[in-house]
Amino acid sequence: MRARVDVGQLATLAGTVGVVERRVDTETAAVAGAVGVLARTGGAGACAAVSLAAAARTEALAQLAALRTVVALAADVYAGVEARVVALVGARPAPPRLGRLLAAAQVDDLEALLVAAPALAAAVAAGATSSPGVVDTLTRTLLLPPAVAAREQARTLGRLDPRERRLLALTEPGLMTALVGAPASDRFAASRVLVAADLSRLLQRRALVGAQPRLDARIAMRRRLLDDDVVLRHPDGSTTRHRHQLLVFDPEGDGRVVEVLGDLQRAEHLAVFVPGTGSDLDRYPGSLARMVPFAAADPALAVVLWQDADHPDAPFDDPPPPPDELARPGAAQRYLREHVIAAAYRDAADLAGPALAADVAGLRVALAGPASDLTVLGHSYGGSIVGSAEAHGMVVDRVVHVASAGAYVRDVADYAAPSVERFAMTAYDDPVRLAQGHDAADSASRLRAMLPAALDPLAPAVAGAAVAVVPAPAAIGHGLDPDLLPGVVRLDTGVHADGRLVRGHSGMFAPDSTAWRNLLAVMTRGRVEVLQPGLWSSHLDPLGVDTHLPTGRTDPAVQVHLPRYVIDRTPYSDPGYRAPTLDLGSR
Amino acid sequence: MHAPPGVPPDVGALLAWSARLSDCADAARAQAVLLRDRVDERGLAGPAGDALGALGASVADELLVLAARCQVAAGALAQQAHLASRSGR
Repeated sequence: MRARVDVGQLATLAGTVGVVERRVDTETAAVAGAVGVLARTGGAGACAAVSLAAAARTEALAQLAALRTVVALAADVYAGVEARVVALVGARPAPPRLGRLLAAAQVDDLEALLVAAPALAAAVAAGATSSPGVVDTLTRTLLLPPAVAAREQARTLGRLDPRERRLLALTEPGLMTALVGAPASDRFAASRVLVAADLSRLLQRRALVGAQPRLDARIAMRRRLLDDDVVLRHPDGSTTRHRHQLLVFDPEGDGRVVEVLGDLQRAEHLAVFVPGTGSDLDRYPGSLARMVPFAAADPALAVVLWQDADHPDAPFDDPPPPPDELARPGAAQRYLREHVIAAAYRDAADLAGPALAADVAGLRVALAGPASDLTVLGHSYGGSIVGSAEAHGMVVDRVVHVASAGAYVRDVADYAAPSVERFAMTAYDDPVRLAQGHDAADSASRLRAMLPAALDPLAPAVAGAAVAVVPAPAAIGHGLDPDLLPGVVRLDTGVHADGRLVRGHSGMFAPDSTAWRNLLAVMTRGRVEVLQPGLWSSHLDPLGVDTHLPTGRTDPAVQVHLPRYVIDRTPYSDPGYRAPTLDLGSR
Repeated sequence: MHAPPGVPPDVGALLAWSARLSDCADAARAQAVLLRDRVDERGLAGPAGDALGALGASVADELLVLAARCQVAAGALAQQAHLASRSGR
């Protein structure tokens, strides 16, 4: 929010507050002097009255100091020199009684002030003040089992009036976003303060290092989260918009974020979507863009985009260290493990699953209406995270594996609720099929399938060498192939509006596709189109060389291609084909 | 006013302190009025400006509390001086 502002008048106000502060300090100094003298000689009644006056003086001076800081910050921020203000705040802790001063504001106005003045938000997020009793009680709930914690948090916060609760969100934003049982609107407000605080940090960095494309993109993204609306374009042509509704925002490391799309007042279904490898704050806008059309498609649906854990890095997200560092013992293996083939390991899912289970338990309490019909979907590595959450106690109405890395478990009996309705979809030419259901133990047979037949004799040796080089091979693999889970409904990926097949690892997110409509139908308990595997066939084309006559200088005559799945047969070669349907609402 | 420890102050000293605290009350009240006026002309519109105005108003209220308590204390000291004069000190 950008308010109209007269920076000169703000600066004058800051000066005036300083003058008032000095005058009150000097012109009421006699109050402090009187306390010392009358304590020895005055009567009891007079002593008590003077003591009260002295306490009021201390409080008034503290609030004047805090107000002077707030006004100065606002003036500087609005003058467009936020970085300088951040430096100022960074060098000085939050002023005493800042929280108490802020408590005097109307909460909606206070939220606007904190968002408009990121430096002030940073001061608050760095450690403002709130009622320690409530904060302690709520902090202790973080140690409880998820469902119990969510209920306890809801109960404790329910005893506060809405204004007190919102004030707590604004002055203790880090805590509030960790409370999965807290009202969503309070977590939205708290997250805005955290985004504003992070914007302040990024502006400070830019002031130090200058403009850089990645840094500027991050600053722009934070500004969009604060200032832009999410626009939902509905099937009837109308649009609605709402502010970004973040339940979680934490920029630490690769970053964590959880956002709700849609109208929680109207929603009757809730879908939680977990994206895959490389999901960090920088890639967040892309994941968000994929989810918005789902939320727009049906006003009865709200979608939660969940990135509240550290997803594995995509290959080479972080560049290799310099050669001398890479040569140190274990460094190359560590780099390989964490920055090249991280997605092959399930340990990120080991950690993310319990976090997802805890957050879903919170959604059950905080969004009881829409969460009464709850679907959780995982794409790619997100599928393994969803499986891990199921193994760590998560129980929902429906689970969908979308081009999923794996089911996480080897036996559905290891899930908290083995009989939950599960769905899976994988395009027949999706490279994720190379990994589904496999681990290091069958690497030799997998290599044999992926290499040209002439290299077959080498496969066991290459696989053995790879397993010897790769760290912790036992942690590689994501359990069962989700398409083969007992009782799973395999969804047809189908075709686009123009008849082209839905292909690859992410083709199902095109809203004109059968696959997309199927995902929406599961989220809203509608009618899905079911895959007929007998009508499809494909084969794995091993690593090879393509040769052809070049058509130009940029068209090489010889190209190496990686192992790939090739679709040999599809029912959609018949334009009249319609997959059988299943009405989830009648099940 | 600088009586030895344990010795009650004389009536004149009590009245002098009462007057000082009354002056403190006047000063706090004047600063509250000044602050409220200036915050109203803060040069910031919109919700953020409203928030700033609310913050300034709350601090001005705090100054009025200070003024009121100074006035009460001044009155209590005057009362004590009156009692002391009646008891012959």
